[in-house]
Amino acid sequence: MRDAVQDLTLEVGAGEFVCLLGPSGCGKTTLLNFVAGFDRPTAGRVLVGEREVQGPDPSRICMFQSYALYPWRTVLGNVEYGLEVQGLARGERRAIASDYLRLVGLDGYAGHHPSQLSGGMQQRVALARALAVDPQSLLMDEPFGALDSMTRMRLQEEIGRIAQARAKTILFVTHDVEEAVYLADRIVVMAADPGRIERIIPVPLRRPRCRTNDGFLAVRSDVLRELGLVHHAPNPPTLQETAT
Amino acid sequence: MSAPGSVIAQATARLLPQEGRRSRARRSTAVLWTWLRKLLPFAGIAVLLVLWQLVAASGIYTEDQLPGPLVVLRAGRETWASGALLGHVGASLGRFGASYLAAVGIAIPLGLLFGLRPALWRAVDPVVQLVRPISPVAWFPLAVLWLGIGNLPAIAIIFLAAFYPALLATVSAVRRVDPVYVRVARNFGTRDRQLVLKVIVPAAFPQIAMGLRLAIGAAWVYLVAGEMLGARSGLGFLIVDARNFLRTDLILLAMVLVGALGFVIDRTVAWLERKLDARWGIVREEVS
Repeated sequence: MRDAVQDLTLEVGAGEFVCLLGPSGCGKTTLLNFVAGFDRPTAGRVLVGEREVQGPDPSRICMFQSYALYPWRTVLGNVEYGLEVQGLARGERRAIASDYLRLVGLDGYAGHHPSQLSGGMQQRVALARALAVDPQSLLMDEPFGALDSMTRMRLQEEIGRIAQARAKTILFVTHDVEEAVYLADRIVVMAADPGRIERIIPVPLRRPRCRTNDGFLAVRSDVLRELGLVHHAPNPPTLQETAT
Repeated sequence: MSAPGSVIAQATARLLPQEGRRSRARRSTAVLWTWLRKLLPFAGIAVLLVLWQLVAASGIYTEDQLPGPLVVLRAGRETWASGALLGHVGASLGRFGASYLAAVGIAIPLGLLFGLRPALWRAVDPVVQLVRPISPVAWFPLAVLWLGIGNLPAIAIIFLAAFYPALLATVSAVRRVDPVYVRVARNFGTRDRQLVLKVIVPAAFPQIAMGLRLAIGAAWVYLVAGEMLGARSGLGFLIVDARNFLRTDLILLAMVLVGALGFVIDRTVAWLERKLDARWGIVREEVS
């Protein structure tokens, strides 16, 4: 059988924001699932601190493209879920959950059901649910992949802000180059067949970042070149030149 | 002016409130139509009654063979006045409720177990598929032989009719629970018991509820048949008893009541289902 990923080593520092970027089939989700503890590698291991990952754990919370909220629970009930499992008293978990709902700007929607919310709002709820159990790290599997591009940018700003303020270690799977450049401290560029790391590109830009300045565009070109998406052709003629 | 193939869009669109856009005449037609739409179901029933009356009055059959709706209504008033009718309806509903609840009460836990243990279900599934196509009616001789005549065979027949749809709906509902729900639960540290109660059951519930509605309809159909097996009360007994005295008016009365009660039960369950769906935050396409 083909290997999903082969001879892959990656070290992520505490509080670091690392994006896994690559085409589909490059094993970025596989890698994320190893770290989450949902799957185990056939060979090799995943260490968090000194401890080897044996299975999923609330200190590493996953977020999914499909939000994976519980439709039968209210927004507040969803955010409370992790705390409920940990056995916190009703009043206590309600207070904590409300705080995190406020953090993501949804305190007015506590009693709604997920189906009444837009995709962006649902992912905010999932973020609040994840943060509520105060995990060391967040593992995000194309969390904004299903959102329209403006909502996506707004959520990128938000996750960037929260990651910085709360010092979470974040592993973020994406295939959106600009998203990776906007968010990551380091971008892990991956390739397929077999899944492997091509190159790790640091992003030495201060936060909050600007999507249009030269530094940003320089890193973006660097990443695009690494993905083989830059073609060294002369600039095409402008529209006016074509028209005449 | 503009190059061929170019597109120029110039538009003004005014958003007007609904009422301003329609003329008064069209509006009143619309109102009339809404009312007519509400009356249509009753019109269908009215046509059925008229046809029944016409055939009854046509002389094709004697009044003893096919009494008209008015005759049946009179029979209904008589039995109602004697108090017998309410007794029969009560007996049927009680019997039906008891065996339906028993069937569902056993089918749902079993369905959960089979749904959660695929290996077990692989073994049980062929057995269920083999026994299920046997109509509850085919069990009649054995039901009487094993359970005697009276209440028990009727209850057993209804039980059989309700059990399989409820069981199969539960199994398939559990198996279809989105695996990502389970992942999330595990990620937050949910243990097995909590997983079933907090995630599997609520996630499967809407589909289970749909199966329960199917089961209630299927079971109601067999109520009359079950009650013909020597029960001393109920609508099925009423039909057998009336047949022995050639009281066709009473036979039709019992038939109409079975249909009407079944209709009411189905609507009640559908209404309950909608209430629960709303609590579950589910918006379901209305099929009417």
